[in-house]
Amino acid sequence: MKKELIKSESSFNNPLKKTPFYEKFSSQMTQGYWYDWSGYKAASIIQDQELEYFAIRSTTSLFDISPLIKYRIKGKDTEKFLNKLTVRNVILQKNNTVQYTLWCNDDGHVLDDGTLFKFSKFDYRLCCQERHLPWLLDTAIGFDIELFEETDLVAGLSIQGPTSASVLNNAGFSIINTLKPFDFVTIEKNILISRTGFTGDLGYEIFLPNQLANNFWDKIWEAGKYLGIKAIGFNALNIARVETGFIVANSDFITAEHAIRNNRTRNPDEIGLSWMVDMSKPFFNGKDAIVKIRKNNLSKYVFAALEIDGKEPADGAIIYHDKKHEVGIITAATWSPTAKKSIALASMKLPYGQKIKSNLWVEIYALRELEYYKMMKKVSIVKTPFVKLKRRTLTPPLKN
Amino acid sequence: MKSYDVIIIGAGHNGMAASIKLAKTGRKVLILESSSEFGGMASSNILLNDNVNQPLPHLINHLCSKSIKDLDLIKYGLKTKKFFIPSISVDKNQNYISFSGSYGSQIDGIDSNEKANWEKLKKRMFFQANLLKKFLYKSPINRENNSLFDKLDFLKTGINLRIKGREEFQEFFRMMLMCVADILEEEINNDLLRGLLAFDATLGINLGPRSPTSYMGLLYRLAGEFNGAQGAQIFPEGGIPKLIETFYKSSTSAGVKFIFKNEAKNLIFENNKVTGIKTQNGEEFFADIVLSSVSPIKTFFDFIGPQRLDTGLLREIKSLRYKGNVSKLNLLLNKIPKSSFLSNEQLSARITYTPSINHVEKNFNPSKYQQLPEDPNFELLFPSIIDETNINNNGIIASIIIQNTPYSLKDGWDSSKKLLYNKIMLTLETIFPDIKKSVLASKLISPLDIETIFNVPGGHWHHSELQIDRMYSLRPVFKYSSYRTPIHGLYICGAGTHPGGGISGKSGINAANQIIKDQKQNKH
Repeated sequence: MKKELIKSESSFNNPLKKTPFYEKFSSQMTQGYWYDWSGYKAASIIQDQELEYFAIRSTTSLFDISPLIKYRIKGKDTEKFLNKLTVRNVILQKNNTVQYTLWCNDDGHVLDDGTLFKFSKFDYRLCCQERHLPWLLDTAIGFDIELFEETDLVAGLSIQGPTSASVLNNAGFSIINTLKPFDFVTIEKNILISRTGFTGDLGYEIFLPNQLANNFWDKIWEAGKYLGIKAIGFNALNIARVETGFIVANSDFITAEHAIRNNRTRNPDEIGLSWMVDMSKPFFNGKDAIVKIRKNNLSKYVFAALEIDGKEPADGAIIYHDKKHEVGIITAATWSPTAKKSIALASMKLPYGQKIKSNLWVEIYALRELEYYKMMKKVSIVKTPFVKLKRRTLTPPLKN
Repeated sequence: MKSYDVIIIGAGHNGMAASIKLAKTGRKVLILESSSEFGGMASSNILLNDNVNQPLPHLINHLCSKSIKDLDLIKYGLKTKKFFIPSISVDKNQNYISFSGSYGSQIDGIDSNEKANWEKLKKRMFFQANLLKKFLYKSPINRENNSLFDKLDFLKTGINLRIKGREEFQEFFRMMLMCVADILEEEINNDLLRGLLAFDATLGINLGPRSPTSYMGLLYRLAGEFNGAQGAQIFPEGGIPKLIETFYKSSTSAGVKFIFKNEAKNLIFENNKVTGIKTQNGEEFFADIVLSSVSPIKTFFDFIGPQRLDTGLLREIKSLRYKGNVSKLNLLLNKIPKSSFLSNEQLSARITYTPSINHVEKNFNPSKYQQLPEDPNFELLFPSIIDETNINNNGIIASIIIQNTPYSLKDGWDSSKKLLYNKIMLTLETIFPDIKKSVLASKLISPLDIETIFNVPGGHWHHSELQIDRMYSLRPVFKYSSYRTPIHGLYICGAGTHPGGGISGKSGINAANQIIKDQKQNKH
């Protein structure tokens, strides 16, 4: 009896969970590329990675974001609590908007980044990559709030691409035409539509109660039939996000609770997010440490966006100065089909990447039919995004 | 005028020690005390009856000569005439051993073989305690305070240890984290002697003699000194109240202002910098430096508040173990009690009811389950017999410290007090057959009472557990072991900081030194 209980509760023995959109995606799957996203079965590729990428950039893509970890925070002290938890000032955030944010531990090291949806000053939703309930509950000590996880209750669908606004209009959601980037609106049946996304393109994210997922999908699919709608997996999205310069926790940096080795944790300045840290707030978790870090120049790394000669993607490559000294590592790389360049995100050891920006090289090993081709390619440091699209921010949105 | 250089919260002996150091540098110092008395947990707040006081502690063993000098205590009336208090370990069958001098330099009641065993063990323990002593009274070395000078101390200790030879070196590391019971059973045979040492090692902390690391408790005690007499238990002339008075006199003479019956309620701080204190009466007092000598639980949770603590720190403070397990029983007797086997002279000893290791361990066990011990171990002292100057006309005081009486009791303290009192009396009657009849007044103070009377969460004698995981630079927590806090200008001292409980004044002195040093360097 007891044994069975343990088995059924352990995530190690259980099959991955299926999201409310699982049947819709899996019915189109011609490939076997599934991966584990926070305990959910998520697709890397549905049919063809390249076509899926071009759906993001040329038509409309549908990506399942149900596995995003979602916390709901309600109550009198919600804003005070969030101002302690996160580095930005949530009081400045307007109702019905989304804020990209991050939070740190005592040492000023980043625990995770995420998005914060503000319904009112007494009601927020926090979405992120990792689970943080113990940290959130301990941070909540002394605050009058209610905090619970709603990951399993709320399904999510990301609708991205130049025709996405038209798809939503076709489906009857013309209300989205007034949404500016980072705005959201809640419509009937508790459906939330935000003008957000991880692609740097025109796009929307929908959060809705699980039981509405099937019908909603059908409606959107029907509306997008002649607008090139396509179900996509993470690989295509990943290309788009690198093009935009978005980072992913535990991929482009190691979160403080995951890092085993001391020097793997990163402060916000070291992952290019120093702009978020609001030092005018009286207090937030890690502020004391960040003050010290900045005062004594203790940051050791810098986030860099790179363009690399040639067309080989430089995944995981080491960056050299003068072709001799190791000065960094590439955390994400791709051939950008839109910029027509080999691009990458990197973590570099200071002063390289900040004061020293020239004479930088990457060593790429390309495996071609069981033989490695070793290349030393020149690197130039650029600013993100690699791909900047006007339609991303245009309001009312472009309709095709 | 409500503006000061330093405001100290709590007129405990550590708060007063800090005030003396700070006032002597010319700083204007105010001490805010919630009760009407100075002395904190060593104050005479507990009335036995209207005319008679007996504070919680009755002996000292941690007031070193340097502190006495630093605080000018002799000038203000401290007598250093040493009353070495012998210990007499008794059982219920009229067996006893007597243990005197500075921690057992003479023992009566054991044979010569056992004496030799004891001498051997004692030598080793004192050697080890001496090594620890170097660190006991100084500010801990930590992330912020780690000058070469400080580090040399570590090196010197290591060398000292190594010079003694491979065997001592290995023994130290073997024994350091052991339970005291295993060591005693290895080295000595007498149950009463073992029982006494087991009791001394674990009194005041939540460990039994068979709990790992309990030996450290004994080393901590032996590392203490009073005016040069190491490991000695001293009854200060005039008793604890007189000793505490010398702190007060020295403090007021240095120009420190005391305000009583005005409890510090809120810290006033702006931009992470302390500016003053608001009291329960709504009064405000201003200073750039506030030194809190109250329990770290109170300082961090009530004064700074969880909203202003980094979550990691909050977790650490929350996990501090701060529930006490020592009770105090004060009795007023109409005459000097007559013992069936102890001489009148022996009544000026510390009498411990410590029949054996297992006896102490068995009494520890129920405390884990929020129950009273079956047959409690305790130490008993007659302050007015020891010191003639302490005699009062109302009667003879018996001061009894009872071990393993947990803060939270399943049955609640209200209904348990009588039970505990009866248990103690039952044992006392085996030593003093007529004692029950001569009791004029009695007062039993549980850890719960200590919490209420002295404003110490959990009623712990050390404010928080004094075990190896919370000693030295881990006390109260690693990040703030240099008497600082996350708020600039707010400092901490008191038993919750290094070196912990007992009347040593060291944590107050160390905190004052830190303040002076930081202000000189314009830091914090």
